Order: sequence, then structure tokens, then C-alpha cells
Amino acid sequence: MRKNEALRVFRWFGLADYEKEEAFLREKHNQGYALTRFALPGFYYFQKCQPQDVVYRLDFYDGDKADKESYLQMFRDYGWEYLFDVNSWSYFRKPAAGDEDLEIFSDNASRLSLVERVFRSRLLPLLVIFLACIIPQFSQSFLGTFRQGWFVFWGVMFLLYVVLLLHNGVGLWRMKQKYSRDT
Amino acid sequence: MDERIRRVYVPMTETGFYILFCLQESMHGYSITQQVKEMTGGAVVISPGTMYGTLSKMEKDGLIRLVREEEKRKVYQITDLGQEILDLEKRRIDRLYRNSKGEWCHEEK
Repeated sequence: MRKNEALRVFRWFGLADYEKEEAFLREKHNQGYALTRFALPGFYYFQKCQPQDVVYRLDFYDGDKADKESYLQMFRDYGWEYLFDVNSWSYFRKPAAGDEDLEIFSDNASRLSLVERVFRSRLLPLLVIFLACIIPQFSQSFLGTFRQGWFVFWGVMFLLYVVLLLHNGVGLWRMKQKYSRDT
Repeated sequence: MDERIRRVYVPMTETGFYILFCLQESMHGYSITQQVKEMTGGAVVISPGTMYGTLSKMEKDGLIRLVREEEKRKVYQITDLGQEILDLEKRRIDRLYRNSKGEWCHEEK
């Protein structure tokens, strides 16, 4: 932890859990802990602050790097403080008091677009690795020269990927359902 | 006009309509939201993520074009194609409005 940081919390959120993550960060700020940085796979660092109702929002930016500055400027224009980027996710926050516009999306079409972009650039690659690498390696170590160590390693990888794909796949599907109504 | 563009944008979302309508004059994202707020008495508020996504998509589809950058803010304006779409949409909404008042439109195709 850095000097100004008072708290480190480990929490793992899946690809579709960004709204839960937002709620978690808001709750921490309400308790007097302001987010300073985030490190994968789930380390949140906080510094002490006045307890305040501050809303956190995450957006997935997969556009041109050259356009990133104008993207951030737009969020600043709307009163959002930009914190940092981790793994293509941009973190924003804004005090809840005195501002009625606490959403970064105002229609379901753009909420769905976020779900689709995360699906395409995060879940699909995971699926490809699973099909093209994990399954062949696992079955080879299972059927072929049966060497205990590799079998265990690929078995663990196999299980890990199944859990990841299921958790994230179901999560994204649920988000899609949630925002598919009346669009 | 491209069939795909027509299918995607007619009918248009409320957000899309207001953005395209405002861009008959050159503007950047936040100023569009402010103007729409004023026009609608605060009933329609377009958030930054939605604004950014819609502007990018409309630019890609050729409905609007980037005219300049002002302190990292992209200023856009409607294109001929965008104006054509907007006029189609205005005619559609006008018909909808008149029908909602119980009027019949005989001259429309």
C-alpha cells in the first residue's frame, strides 16, 4: 500500500458485475473510504475521506486511443471525475448531492451496447482460448502420456475456465435480458 | 439512401432524434445535452456515455461529420444524408402527431 492509502480490500467481480462493483465503491465512499486505485484481479485501494454519498460509474472503452481524450473530456463536461483505466474499464465518480444526473447512460440501447462490447472483446476471446487450447491440452493430458502433474494442471485450468465462462456468460446474458425490454 | 441506414434510423430513438435535430447547427456533446434539456423542460436528459456512443455511431454511418475540435471537445454537424434522415423522421412524427389528434393524413405515401 502507498503512504496515503489506509485500506486494501480484495473483491472479485466478473465481466457482468460492473453494477455491483459500482454499488460496492459507493458504499465504501459512504463509509469514508475513497477509491485511489485498482489492481487486477481484485485489489481495491482506498484512502480515508469524509463519509459522503459519491456515485461511481464504470464504462468499457474499446474505441480509438486517439479519441480517448475527447471521450474523457465529455465525461468531465457532465461533472464526472475520471479516476483511471484498468483493463479497458474507465472509472468515474460524482457526488450524489446537488446533481440529478447520476447516470452515464440514459437509454437501454447504450446499456445494451456496453454489454455487447464486453461480450465481444472479453468473453469471446476467453471462449476461443477454452476451445482452442484448454480443451485439447486437457484431453491430451488425460488420454495420452498420463503424467500426473500436467493432468492436474490442465484439469485445474479446465475447471477454472468452465467456472469463468459460466459465471460471465450467464451474467452478461442476464444484463442483456435486463436491458432488452422496450428497445 | 442506403436501405440499412434507413432501417437503423427510421424510426429513430428519442435520443437520436434530438441529437440529430440539434446538429443542424454545429455543436459538441455537452452543449447538445444542455440545449435538449432546455428544449424539453428537463424531460429529456442525455448522459455522456449515451451521447458519446450515439455521436460515434452517427459519424461512422455518415449522418454527421466532425467539423473541428475545441479544447478536446469534438464539434459535429449534420450531413446531407443526416438531414435527409431527419426530414423523413420529422414527417413521420408529424403524421403520428396529427393521427394522435384524430386527424387523417390523405396525402402521405
